[in-house]
Amino acid sequence: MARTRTIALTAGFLGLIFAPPVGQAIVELREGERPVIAELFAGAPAEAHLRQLEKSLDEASSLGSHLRPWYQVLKHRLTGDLGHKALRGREGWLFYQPDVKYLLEPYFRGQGPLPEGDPVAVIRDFKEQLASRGIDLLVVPVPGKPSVLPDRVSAALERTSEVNGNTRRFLSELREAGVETVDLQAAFRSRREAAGDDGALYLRTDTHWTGEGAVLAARRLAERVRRYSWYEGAAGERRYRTREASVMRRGDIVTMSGVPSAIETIPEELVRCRQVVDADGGLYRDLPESPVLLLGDSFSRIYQSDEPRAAGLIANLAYELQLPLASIVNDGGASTLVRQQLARRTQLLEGKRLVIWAFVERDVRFGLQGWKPVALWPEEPQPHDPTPAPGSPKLASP
Amino acid sequence: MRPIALCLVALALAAPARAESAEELALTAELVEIPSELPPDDLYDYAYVMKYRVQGGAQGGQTLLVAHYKPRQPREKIEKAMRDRVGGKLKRFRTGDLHRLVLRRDLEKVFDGAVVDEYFAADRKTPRYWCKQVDPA
Amino acid sequence: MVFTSHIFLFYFLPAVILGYYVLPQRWRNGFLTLVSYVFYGWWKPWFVTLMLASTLIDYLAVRVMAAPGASPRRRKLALLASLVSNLGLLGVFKYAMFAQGNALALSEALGLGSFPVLEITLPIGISFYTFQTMSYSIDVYRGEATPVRRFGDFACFVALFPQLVAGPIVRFQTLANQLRERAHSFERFASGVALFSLGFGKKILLANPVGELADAAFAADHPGALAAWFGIVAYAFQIYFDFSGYSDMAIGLGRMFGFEFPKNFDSPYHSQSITEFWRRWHISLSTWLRDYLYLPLGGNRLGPRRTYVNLALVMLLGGLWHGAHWQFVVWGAYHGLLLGAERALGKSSAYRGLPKPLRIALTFVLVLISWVPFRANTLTEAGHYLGAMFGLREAGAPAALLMAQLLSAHSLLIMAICTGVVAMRTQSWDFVEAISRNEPGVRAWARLAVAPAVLLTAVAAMFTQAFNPFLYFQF
Repeated sequence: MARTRTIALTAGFLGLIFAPPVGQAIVELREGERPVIAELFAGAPAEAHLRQLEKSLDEASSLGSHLRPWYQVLKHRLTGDLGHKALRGREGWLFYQPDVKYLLEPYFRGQGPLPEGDPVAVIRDFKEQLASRGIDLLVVPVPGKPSVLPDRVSAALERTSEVNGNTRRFLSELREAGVETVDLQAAFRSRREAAGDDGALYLRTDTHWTGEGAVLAARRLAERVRRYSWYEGAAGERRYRTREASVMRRGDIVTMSGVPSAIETIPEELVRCRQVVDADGGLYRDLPESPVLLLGDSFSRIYQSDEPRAAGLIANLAYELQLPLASIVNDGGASTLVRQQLARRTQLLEGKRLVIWAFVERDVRFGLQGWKPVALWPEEPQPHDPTPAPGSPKLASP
Repeated sequence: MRPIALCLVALALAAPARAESAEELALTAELVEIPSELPPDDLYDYAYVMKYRVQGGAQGGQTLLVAHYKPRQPREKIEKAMRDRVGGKLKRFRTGDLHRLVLRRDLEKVFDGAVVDEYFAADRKTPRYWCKQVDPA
Repeated sequence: MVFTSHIFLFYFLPAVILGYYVLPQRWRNGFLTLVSYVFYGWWKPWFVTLMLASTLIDYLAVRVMAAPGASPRRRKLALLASLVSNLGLLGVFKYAMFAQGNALALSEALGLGSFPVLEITLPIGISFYTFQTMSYSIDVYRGEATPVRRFGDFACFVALFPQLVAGPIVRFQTLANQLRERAHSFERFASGVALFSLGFGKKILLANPVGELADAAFAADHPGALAAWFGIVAYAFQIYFDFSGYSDMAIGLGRMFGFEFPKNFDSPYHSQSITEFWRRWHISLSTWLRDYLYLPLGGNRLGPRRTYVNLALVMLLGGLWHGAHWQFVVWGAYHGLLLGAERALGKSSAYRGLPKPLRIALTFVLVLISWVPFRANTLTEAGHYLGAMFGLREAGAPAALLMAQLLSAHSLLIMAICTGVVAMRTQSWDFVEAISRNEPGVRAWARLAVAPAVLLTAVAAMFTQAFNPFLYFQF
């Protein structure tokens, strides 16, 4: 190697590896902070401490924050790639990878230990706790976008292709465990077959449903709720009416990709919603004393507390039932966190006849914090200790 | 008359302050535990409960459980919609660091989203505070 | 610590380079030993005690063996102590859980009840450094190596961080002279930089992205035949770029500190037979197994039948060396069978009469089939996957979703690049050799620019990827 080239390569390499840590320390000191690398000496060299240090270095890295978007844009420009969380479908449709992963992987129960907890056992336990207070439970897995729009993921799939055998099996096991369920998938598929196109049920670049999807889910749910014997007495006079509302929404799949060029170029979507108002024209509001409590996730939050407000699943279910609801909505936390939230506010269950628990189907596998049992009234003996699935570890009691 | 009027004015002015102090408290505490890996926050909004030990004052040595909104992000980068509820200059949460905290007692009223609370199973009684502002001490 | 991490590239490596070149020559081995212990202990600090134990045992065994006037019996006992200790460490930390699991399954099958299985953490790199330390005591026993004088030099040989956790497996005699005296030059350092950069790129820009494709295919419930073949080709690329990338980085780092490690890969997917594949794949392991297992067993000197038995035994143990699972035993047996068959045919393949591209393609297909049990988590999973590859298992409807994932523009581009790099006659080693030549002109500069460009792009990509250790760390 010619000496000049040798020196150039060596100098370039040394510059590349020496400049970032020195520059990072200078930036941190100028901002009045202790350099992150100094954490190395802040504790005993235990594994947890070292992993935390590595994570802190990654997160704090100025070089990383400059290079990351550059590389993301390069990949996006070259191949349209939006990172490992987004899957490009056909005709501009974007899908959330965990939604697809949930459909692809084998059914999770009966495959061995379930380190994240067994949802069937946990749901049965929850149902029995509620039943001890005379409250019914209705479980509603919300289909993810690729379950309803498989043909928008791949041209090899038909509109009618059955891709979510996992949820069908989950619903069937819940029913075997004595848990009442509502199958939204069937309703959504019927709509697609009738509409002939995508049925306008899901947003093109977002993980969630459209306003219309929320209304359809509310109708399907209301059909079941009306069959409860207490419903007639609870409904009373007609209190709500609807009006059209619309909102521009930037797809969360685009936003979470974090790719600047995608955020700049993929347009916002116009969403038409059915907004629910009361007799005075005021937007629908929850009533904590309602006989119905809905526990939900972001599918219950969208258009409800988000713009245009009072146009999501909750308001539309209230409209269909002509009955105000109580609700606890916990983005991404509908597997465990929403029940923890309820356990902190058990007074909300006073006078309740029904709890509707809606969560997106992928959370059966990937819910934030997994599926932990939650005792609603810990001071009382529990009606049932959730039995783990065959081969799964014993669930700890709270 | 004049001193009485002044007292009345002072009381009137002080009333909101009293109401605020009933909901909020300011203190300095050491972050003693981040009980697990912080969950990803790209898709979900959430708050995460961490353990503190109060430094100095009447509450010195007391343990507090404090919910921080999206703790992976520097406080100054929290989205606009949450700015009235989350603030401060802290960039990273590291155990062992001292923080100046402004806390709210009414977590459920301030934030109705997901609260990731690893202490839930073992301890429901200790109150959870919402962190309104956190700065390096 | 992982080479392709922030902490290694921007903190550990600069600190080590600085310390190494600032220190006087006589302190450098000691310094390298110290930082290698930090490097190794970074995963779990207690790991270092095992490495230290292995080092001490072999050092002392050889001292006993090489003591003036040592009787043959004493020499043999010392060697035995070394072998038993190293194999004992491997047995406890690598194979005890496997044995317990099998005993449990047998006990349950016979209706004798169950018992708790003691969980044991596998220390990273234990298979590599125990083989290295054993090679030292065996070489000294055979009279092929001179005993080391200073413990520090031996500790440095065992712990040397560039090749500690995933090879190349270096025999003591290869490094003995370099430990005593090695040359440092800009040329050597720069060629190390180039090799390290290319290896870094292989891991981050190729192995990790294709690994995601392989993971998706292997995680799917009922992949179709096309997806299954796509997935296994992706895995073949992943394991090659992952492992050869690591070797490149190891050799490159070695050069930065004046060492010269042997080449570990030589375009293995260009092989025209399985026999040739094993001459080109993980060369340091094949050589080790040949020198310390195959030849001592008699090699091919004891007649054809014994040769086949020896081959099968070596490949089975080679399989088990990779991991204590039945999948690796099957993988080793499969390769043993193919090697035996080729030996029967005169060390050549059954398809030797075909044109060269077809011979390469058929060898690649045979290797692909072997990667299925290697990658699968269980033998059942491997069976299902092979069934999918050969159309014996019906694809479910979600298989089309999998194809949509696998055939994205980004995935196709990565697979095309991998194919191109594998097909190239010039591999990283040769590329670095080429840029080391004293050529004048723009072309030489352009070739030189490839290494930093790859490194810079890979560093940018590293910040977008989750933690992703090397595949061979688990062995």
